[in-house]
Formats: sequence, structure tokens, C-alpha cells
Amino acid sequence: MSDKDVLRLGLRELGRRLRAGEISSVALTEAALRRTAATEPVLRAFVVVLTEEARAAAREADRELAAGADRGPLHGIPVAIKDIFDVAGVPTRCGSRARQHAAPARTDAEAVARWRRGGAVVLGKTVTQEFAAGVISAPSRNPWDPERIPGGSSGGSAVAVAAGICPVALGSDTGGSVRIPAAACGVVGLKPTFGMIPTSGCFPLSPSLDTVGPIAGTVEDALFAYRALGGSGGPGWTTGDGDLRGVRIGVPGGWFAQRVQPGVRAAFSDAVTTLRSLGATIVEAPWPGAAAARAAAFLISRVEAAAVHRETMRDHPDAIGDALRGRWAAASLVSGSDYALARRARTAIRDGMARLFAAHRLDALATPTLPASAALAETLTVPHDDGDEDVGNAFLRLTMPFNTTGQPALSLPCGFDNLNLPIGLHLAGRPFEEGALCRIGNTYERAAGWSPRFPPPIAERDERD
Amino acid sequence: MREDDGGPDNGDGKSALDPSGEDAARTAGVRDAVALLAEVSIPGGDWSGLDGFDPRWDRTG
Repeated sequence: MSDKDVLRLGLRELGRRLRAGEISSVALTEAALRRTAATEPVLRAFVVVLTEEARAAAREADRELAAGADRGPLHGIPVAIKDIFDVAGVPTRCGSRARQHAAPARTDAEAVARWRRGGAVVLGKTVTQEFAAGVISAPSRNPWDPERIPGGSSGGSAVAVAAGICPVALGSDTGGSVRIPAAACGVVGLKPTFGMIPTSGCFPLSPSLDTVGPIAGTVEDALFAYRALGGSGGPGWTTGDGDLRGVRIGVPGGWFAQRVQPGVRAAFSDAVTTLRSLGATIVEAPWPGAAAARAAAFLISRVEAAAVHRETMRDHPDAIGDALRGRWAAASLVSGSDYALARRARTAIRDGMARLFAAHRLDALATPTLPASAALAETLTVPHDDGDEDVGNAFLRLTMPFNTTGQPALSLPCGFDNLNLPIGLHLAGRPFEEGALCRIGNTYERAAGWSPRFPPPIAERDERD
Repeated sequence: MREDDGGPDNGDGKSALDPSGEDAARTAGVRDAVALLAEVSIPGGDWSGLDGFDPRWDRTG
């Protein structure tokens, strides 16, 4: 079995093999390191690979398992960490020139510490868009087509999972940064309920919106990784070959159906048909607050990010990329009262979402994750019949409203377009009910068969691995 | 803040925003968002969202 085939077995099977002594964490980690070396020249998912640290952690994981100490589903599993999270002994550079000389972090971010307590082997740190603000994640490239971007801002983490380097990776989501690259790379991303996972040790982008979440190959692995972060999912999670009888899923249309590419529209329509065939009741559930929800998150994130980086903007503006510097300068046009009103509007928008769920007795809201598949790195635009759209605007358009509401949201693969690029289905659930949300996703995933699926060989060397 | 272009001042008398091109689009985006949110209906006395956002729905009635 090749390295990538082993690494794509999923946490349940890997855990079984580790505990049965059929494979070791050391062997798994060496496979992940070989896989990284094979794909990195093309995909560039990592900013640093912690080779010796990972080997030492894997040896320790094997010793513990041999001694009967079992830390759970991540025990002995190689994981990757977005480079806005502190990893002890390693600088947190956040993809920015402004932090190229950052001192090594003294301690792990809380999310990283929790994964380590769960036995995870930290393989390295992954590429993020500058300060987690954007969807391009250069220089990472998309495993399904290296001419295209992976999405972002947790782009390197999604690439690492999609390329079969590690089963799970850590990301953060302020406007869609877990779900967007997950959709663009054909993997699963879970944005938990706002506030569920501590953000300490995660460099802030917009503290009122920042949410820590996992990226994984399957919904089940995402839930395992989420629980290892300390997340509780409430009732409702069962795995198996169940159906969705009794589940009600709303389709909002409107904002979520405008400027959506035909391939995405078709895949989403097929996904809704599959959900219905599994017994779910599908109802039209228009959400008139979607545009305001996008606007609220837009304003809040701009203002808070400008505040976080105020000193750098003043003292070292040239250390910040041109686009980001322009955005944050524009944020200074937002008055204090406008910001307060945006925060206040957020409450109203959240309550509107609660009323929508209550009125239709919904368990989830289904939309496409992105209006398009991965954009070309050369153009950074999304083509529509009525003209091109900037990829940043396009990719955040459908995900960001759910950062305003704060409810949990899941992106999982639901098909491919005519370029063989993956398309994401987005399911938003009730606050603190990640388990129920993942049960819907897992049931769909098993029936639809779109995940896990893996990209074609990435490089000549990849054929042999 | 300079009044001629509405842009912020870097402290050196020069606006950090170029009133044309991409900065103009960014500025318009901010103003559009402010205008849109001004239309969001909120019960007059409810400012609870400012004391730390709570995603729970059980207080929404």
C-alpha cells in the first residue's frame, strides 16, 4: 500500500491498525514526511516541516500505545497546523513580512495543545493567506489543478489533507477560511459554533468572529478532530448507514442562488435530491437577512483587523501587503457608531436566523459553499455570464453570513464541475449542535460517495509513492 | 481624517487611501455595507449584542 493510500484510510481505520500493532505512528509519520517531500515542490502547503520533532512525538505515541495509554482518535496521527496558531519553539509568521522576524512561540496555542494532549503528531505549519485575511493562500496550489488556488485562508491545511499528507489539519474561520479551502480542495471543513473552541494562541483577525475548526478527509474525521479540540456536539451524532427521516433541511435560495456557476448549481441541486432521497424533508426557507449578515461580518472584520494591526499599519505599513493595507485603511472610514451598529445588527440577524429555523422547524440550512470552483492563480477571478468577479468577494459571499450568525457550519464535497474541480455543499446547523449537523453530513457523504475522493497524481514522483 | 477624500490620515498629511482605483472600490464597499446595515430592523432597546456576542438561540423567544 502506498504512503498516500495509508494516510487516506481515515482515523477510524488508522486507529484500529495502530492499536492492533499493524502500523506504528513512526511509520505513519515517515509516510507523511515522504508524501510531503513528494508533493511540496508543486503544492507548497507548508511553511515549515518539523521533521525531527514529529519523529520524536511519533516515537512517544508508539511507546504510550504499547504501554496501554490511549489518548483517543488522534493518538499517533500526523496533523498540520495553520501558521497563525502558536506551536512552541516555532515562530508564528502568519504569512506576513511583518512577522518574518517573530520570535519562536513559547507555548502552544490552546487548540494545538489540546490536539497534542490527544496524541497528535504535529508534522508542520501550513501556509495561510497574510494574517488569515483572504482566500488565495499563495504560494500553495490546489491538488486538483496546480494552476489554481486552494482557497483560503487556511489553504495550506486544506492542501495537506487533500494531497493525502495528513488525515486532519487545523484551520481558522473568520469569514469562511476553513470552509472555503475545504470546498475548493474537495475535503471537509467544520466551523464550530462561535466561541466553542478557545482562540488563545491563535493570532487574531477579528476576535468577534474568529473561530477555530478542523479540516479533514471525511465528516467523521472532522468530528473526531473537533472533539479532540474540546468541542462538544450535543446530542445527535451517530454513525452508520442511517437515513435522514425526520430531518428538515431548508434551502434559502435568493442570495445563495445568485451568480452561482452552472456546474455548482447542478451539483447543489443533485445534493438536495440526494438529501431528499435519504428521507429528509426539503423546504424552501428564504433568508432575507443574508445580505445584511454578509455586510455585518464585512464591517466588523475590517474594523477589528485594522485595530489589531494598528501599530504595524502606523509604524511599518510597507510590511503589510498592498491589498491588505488598502482594506484596513478603508476600515478607518467606518465610524465608531457604525461599528457599534454592525455589532448590534448582528444580534438581530442571529435572531432572524433563529426565527427562520423555528418557523420551518429546520435542522439545517443547505447552500453551496462557494459560487464557483477553484479560481486560476493567474487571474484570481470567477467568471460569470455578466462579467468576472474578484475571487475574494466571490468566495466569501456565501460563507461569511454564517460567521455573523455564529452557528456551526460544515462544508463537504458534493460533486465536480466539467473541469473535474470539486464543489462544496454547505450545511449550517443549530448553535452547539455540531453532532446533529455532522450526522446529516455523514449520512449524505456515505450515500453520495463524493468523499473521500482524491486528486490525480500531483507530480511524476507522486505516481511512485 | 482629511475631508477632501474622506480617507484616513497617516499622520504625515497624506491620505493612506488612493481616491481612485482599488481603494475607491474598497471605500465604496465599506459605505455600501454601512448603508445596508442601517436598514436592519432592531427593537429599540436591545443592545445586547455589544456585551459579547452570544450565538445561543434560547434567548430569542
